[in-house]
Amino acid sequence: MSFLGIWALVYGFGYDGLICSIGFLVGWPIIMFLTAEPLRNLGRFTFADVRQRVSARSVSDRSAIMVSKLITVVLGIVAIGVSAAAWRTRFVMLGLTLPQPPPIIPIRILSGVVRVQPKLSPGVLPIETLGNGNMIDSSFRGPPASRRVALRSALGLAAVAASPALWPRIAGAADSYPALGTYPAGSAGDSVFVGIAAPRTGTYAVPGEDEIKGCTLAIEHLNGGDPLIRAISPNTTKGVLGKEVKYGLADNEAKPNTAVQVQSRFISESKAVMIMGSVSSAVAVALNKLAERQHVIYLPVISGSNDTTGKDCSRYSFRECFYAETAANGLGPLLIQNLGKNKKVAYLTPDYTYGHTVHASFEQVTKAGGWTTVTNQVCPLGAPDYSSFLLNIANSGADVFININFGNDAVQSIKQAQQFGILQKQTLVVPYDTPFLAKEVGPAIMKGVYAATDFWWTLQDRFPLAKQFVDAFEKKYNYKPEWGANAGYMQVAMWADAVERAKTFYPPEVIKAYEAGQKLQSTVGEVYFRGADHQLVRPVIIVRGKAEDAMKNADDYYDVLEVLPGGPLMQAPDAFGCKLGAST
Amino acid sequence: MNWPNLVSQFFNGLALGALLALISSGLTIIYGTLGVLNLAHGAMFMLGGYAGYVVWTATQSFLLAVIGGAAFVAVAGVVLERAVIRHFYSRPPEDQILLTFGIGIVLVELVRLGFGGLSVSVPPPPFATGITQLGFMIYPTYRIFVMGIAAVALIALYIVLYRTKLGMIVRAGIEDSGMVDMLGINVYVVFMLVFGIGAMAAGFAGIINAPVTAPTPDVGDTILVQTFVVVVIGGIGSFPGAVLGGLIAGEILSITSAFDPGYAQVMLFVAMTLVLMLRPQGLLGVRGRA
Repeated sequence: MSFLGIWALVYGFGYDGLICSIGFLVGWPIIMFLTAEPLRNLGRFTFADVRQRVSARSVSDRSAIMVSKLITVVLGIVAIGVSAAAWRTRFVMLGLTLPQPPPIIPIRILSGVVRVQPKLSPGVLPIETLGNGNMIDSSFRGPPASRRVALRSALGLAAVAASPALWPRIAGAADSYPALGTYPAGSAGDSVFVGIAAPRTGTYAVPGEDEIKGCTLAIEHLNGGDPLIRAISPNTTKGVLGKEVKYGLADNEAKPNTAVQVQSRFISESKAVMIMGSVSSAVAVALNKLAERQHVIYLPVISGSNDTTGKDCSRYSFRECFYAETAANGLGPLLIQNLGKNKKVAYLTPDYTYGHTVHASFEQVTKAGGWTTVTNQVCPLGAPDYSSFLLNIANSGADVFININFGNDAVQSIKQAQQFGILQKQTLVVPYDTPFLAKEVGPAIMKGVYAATDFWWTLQDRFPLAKQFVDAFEKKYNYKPEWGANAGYMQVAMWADAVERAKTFYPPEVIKAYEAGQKLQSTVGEVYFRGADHQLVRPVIIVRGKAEDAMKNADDYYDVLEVLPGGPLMQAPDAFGCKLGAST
Repeated sequence: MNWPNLVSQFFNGLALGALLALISSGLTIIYGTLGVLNLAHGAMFMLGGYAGYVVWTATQSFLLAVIGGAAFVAVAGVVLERAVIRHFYSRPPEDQILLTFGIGIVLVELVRLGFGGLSVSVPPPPFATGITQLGFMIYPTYRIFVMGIAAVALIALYIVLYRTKLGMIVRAGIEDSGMVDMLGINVYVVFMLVFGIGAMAAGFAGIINAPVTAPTPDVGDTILVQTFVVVVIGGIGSFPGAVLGGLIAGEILSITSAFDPGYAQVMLFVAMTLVLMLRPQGLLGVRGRA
């Protein structure tokens, strides 16, 4: 089942889905330890046949067996359907043609199951758990528990046929719009719920924590009607459409399947009207799909991949921050101008959508200056040791070392590159600056290093709203906000603005308000959303590390070199294959 | 493919492997003797780094940091064993796994609470900073130093296990702890010491690795996974197996990345799978033990 689950993820998210297999590899030994011993002498083929041999003592036991058999068969069919679809796309990619499959098990049915089940049995939800062992879950416990699980799942399946979700109009609507997603249930009371999930553990924990602080500060400002949030969202008085905003926080561990699980719970249990948060683009892309399936607005916060508003863009998702292509178009020409033409470049690239698109965009842009790639070292997310990659880079004869890693990976790999003497021979470039990088590696290493970023606190000298934001943030949290916090704050504020302009929480209307391209004031000047791919048109900030003796205070790590207008840096909306889905 | 790079990677594999061997040996003797699969081992590694960091900021002495870090983790290990883990010896393995996994989470989050999520820096000792020219390659001096220290620590561990009475009891405990108990030896005192020594090995590795990989609360997580692979390859409960497994894992990670770094982690698991298929007890493990 786990292998089929991975196929399903690959089918759903492209090869980003493979990142989930890491979790699977870690989880598998534990599951093995837990289940192998109790199961070793039982059953021949499936757990249903285990139950038959062990505990068919009463009528109710036998009915439990029947239900569990049924579930085994249904799950098997579902899994085969997904993996068959996955195989099909593989074949198509390889240029082989297959006959059209008969339309008996279309994937639509699958997503129907997924959407409906949570209503009856919260906790046993989404497609992702298919891979992780509903079967195992019910197999090794005692008969009463297994019967309960079996019955609950059976009810879930029965609900496919009987759920109100199939007749959305029966549900009573508060105003003239039909029920959709969590509307109108999520906004029926005098408060609305927002689900925030960011990594709080693992390699992206530090930017994740910064991001959460920005989001929660914005919600606090919304409920209090703070002048800063009203400058960004002019129609706001207090709350959103007069309703108080409540929120839940969760750790998404920077893993797509964890993120989908926690956000699904926010949607099904708390009727979230909006979900937000990401540091990994793999998470952002997965939640883009979840948002579209569940008809709930999703706001990624930190996500640097072109795919988030490119090939994996979503009608229900809106991105605030800069990304691979704008970073490359902003920083690239400046690098060629300052470091010279015809340089040899070594890349250190994290192995998922973010790393690959940043690498591709930079390689493309720096071609104009005759820059060539001598090595591209692809490394796993969260590697503790970079010695083997760095040795290859040290031996590559490169002039420029472009380190695409993010979060703690960036900190560790830059520190270790210093130990290998790479930074003396090669010029370090940080194409996508991670929050707190300069603080963690220190000015001795960051001195003179070029980086592209989304926000830096000294922008307060140029933008009055930035000053208000930095002051309010520092007063509450006692440190200067980094760009994760700024992005989180802006996302909440701009969402409030869109809802206020839509005058309803009905998602298609909110989306229309976003897509209108309304010009908004932000902490980095005037910005607006591009309707065709839901990407915010906003400046890219180019910074350069300061030497220690040039720093005016303990947080003054960067000189802001340029605030480049975003529009000219962006690709055509459809250049990366963005096709927005329907809003209903 | 260029040969200097391959030789460099081979050398680097030894350095990586020595460290993995040290951490894994702690895990393997704990499992071999106590029969407890210690999923808090990665947290012990992390704890060593932070304890060393505290001592280092107080004294600015790397030597004291290493001693202090290792001693703290050894004491923490003994306390954990006495306070919590000993109550779980007769419980089913699922409970032990959940317990140690939970202890690991608690330790990681406590450290995060106390020190924040940002990484902390412990610089290498002055005599081991900089870069050494090895003729065929340049290599950070400190990493060469780590190889030396790890080798010395492994030899010390070997002497304790194979040349002392305690070591004899531990090895006997791995073979048949019931029999040791019957011979009138208080096996629980031995268990406590073994847990302390095993935790110390991880803590010691944590602090000597701190200048290489700056400690963060999560630093133990990825290490733990690799450590498990090493133990499975070498043979569960076998000290020489852990050393051999560590070196093999280090070489696989390093040499694979000389060809295509994307496959380094994959090859590690491929190797583990091959060992499990061809020799399920591990390279130096004994069938049916533990």
